Amino acid sequence: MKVGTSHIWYVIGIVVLALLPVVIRSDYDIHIFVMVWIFSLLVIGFNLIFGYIGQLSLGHTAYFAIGCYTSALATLKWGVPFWVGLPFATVVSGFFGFVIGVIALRWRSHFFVIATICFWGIIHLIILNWVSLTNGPVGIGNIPIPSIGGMLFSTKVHFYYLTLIFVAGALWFTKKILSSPIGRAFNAVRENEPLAESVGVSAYRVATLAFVIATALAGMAGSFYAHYVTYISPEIDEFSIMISILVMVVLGGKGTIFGPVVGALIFTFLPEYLRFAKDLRLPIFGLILIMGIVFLPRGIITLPKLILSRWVDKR
Amino acid sequence: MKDAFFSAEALTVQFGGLTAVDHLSFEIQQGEIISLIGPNGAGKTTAFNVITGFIRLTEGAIRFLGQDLTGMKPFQIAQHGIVRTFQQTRVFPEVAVEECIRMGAHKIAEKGLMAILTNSSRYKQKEKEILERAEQILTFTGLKEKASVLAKNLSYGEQRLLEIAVALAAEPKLLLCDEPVCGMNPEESRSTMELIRALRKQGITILLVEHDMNVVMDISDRIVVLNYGKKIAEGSPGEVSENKKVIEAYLGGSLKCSI
Repeated sequence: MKVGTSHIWYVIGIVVLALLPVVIRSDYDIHIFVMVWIFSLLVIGFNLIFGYIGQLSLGHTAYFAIGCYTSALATLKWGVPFWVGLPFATVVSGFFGFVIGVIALRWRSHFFVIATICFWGIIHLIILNWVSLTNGPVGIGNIPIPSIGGMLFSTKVHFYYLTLIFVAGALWFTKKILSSPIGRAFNAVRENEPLAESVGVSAYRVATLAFVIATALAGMAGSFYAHYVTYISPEIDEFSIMISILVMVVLGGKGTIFGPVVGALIFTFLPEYLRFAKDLRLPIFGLILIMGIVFLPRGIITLPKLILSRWVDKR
Repeated sequence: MKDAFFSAEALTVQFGGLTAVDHLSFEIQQGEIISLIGPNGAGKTTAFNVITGFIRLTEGAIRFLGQDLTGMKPFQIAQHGIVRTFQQTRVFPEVAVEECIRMGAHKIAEKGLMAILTNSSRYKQKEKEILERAEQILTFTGLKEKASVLAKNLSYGEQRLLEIAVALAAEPKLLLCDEPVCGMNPEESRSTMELIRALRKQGITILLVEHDMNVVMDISDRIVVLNYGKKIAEGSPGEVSENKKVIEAYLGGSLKCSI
């Protein structure tokens, strides 16, 4: 196998991320990392439909919530282990994505945006009002922690590695898909839909496939969230989370493989490092986000390349 | 009687009360270059859009290689081997030229999820074939030097060439070109026509819509003339250019109408 420079960067990335918990002793920082990895799964999927196909799924937290509740209820009510709940939640979310996609992706653009918001609204109302199933606004607690052969994933470091492996897997999966004819079809549909159709690409099928993957990954993220935090409530389906997802993807670089993860890292960690600014923390955070989008419209992921090309130009 | 390679049977398209294409029938034999001409608004592009599934037929049928393509979607028609280019240039703007051509090869690509994830030998073989095919098309269309240029940064003439290149990647049996030399200078126009002749030699049948009469008369084996959505003449370039109805449509028709 050919070993390119990009392979070396992957190895360095993996080693650094694997060693981080050894270096970082603060439980709180590890906790934030776990949240970043869970959100990464969500935004990697969301980026497929939003960044690559170019369709805005504005109710994406609905699939995250479906994943949370499906996994939590399956483990609590049926007593299945997390390792069954996780794939089950992934499949159930993906199934709902398929149903919504088959209906709403027939007519793309604004119709799809509105249809996804409507579905989000329905799910939100069900979670709030089907009290016998979801406990309503009170939420569900005591969700079991995952375990492997008697070993409990009881610490944050355990979860750090567990989620990191799945993020790496999701990245590998999307990279494989995107460099394949399927990825080329994604790009074709986004760049010029009539032209794509004229060479035999069905925009409807391609968009539906992307949406199913996106919603399945959201469900997977939801399952991890539920079993990590061990408590879920309708708050996980708030629209503000949708805004966070959008900012992560756009800030990091939509339509790039690693951009959304970079976006999730910056979006989650920046507010922590701005604590010194006290009351001005959130205004400064907002300002930095705006500047990022104004000056790096293709995302922060393009920054190293930009600096490198400037540097080469100067020499 | 032998089945025609392609046949349009009484194609009719109505937009509300307006009949854009009115019972248009014609056949295409394999290996022909056939042109669809007519004054502005005669329904040429609409006929194209109907044949390629971009507009729904009100009535009529489309048969190709013994199969009924009536009512199929654009991507299905493309998969059957009818590929088109557009009157207004359409490219994948943010994509490099070579990658654009590979995107055009969608229908021959291996798209199975398992094959892709396991990097199966069949998948690798297909991808290699597509790459080779893209190289061939680059050389054939003369876009080789621009292989890594983004489509949006090509000149207008080059973008029109790229459009044909992308269509070729889809392995058409019948290629529909909507005004391929529109807006080109005489030099570009001549080389594009050469390209179309070369395509025919490769066994691709071609249906043209074109405004430039010199080009049409020069290249076509047969011409179908439309006016107000109806076929008013069909025949060799010589026959058509002497047909009274055609001369009237192009020269006198509009004058009479205004009186």
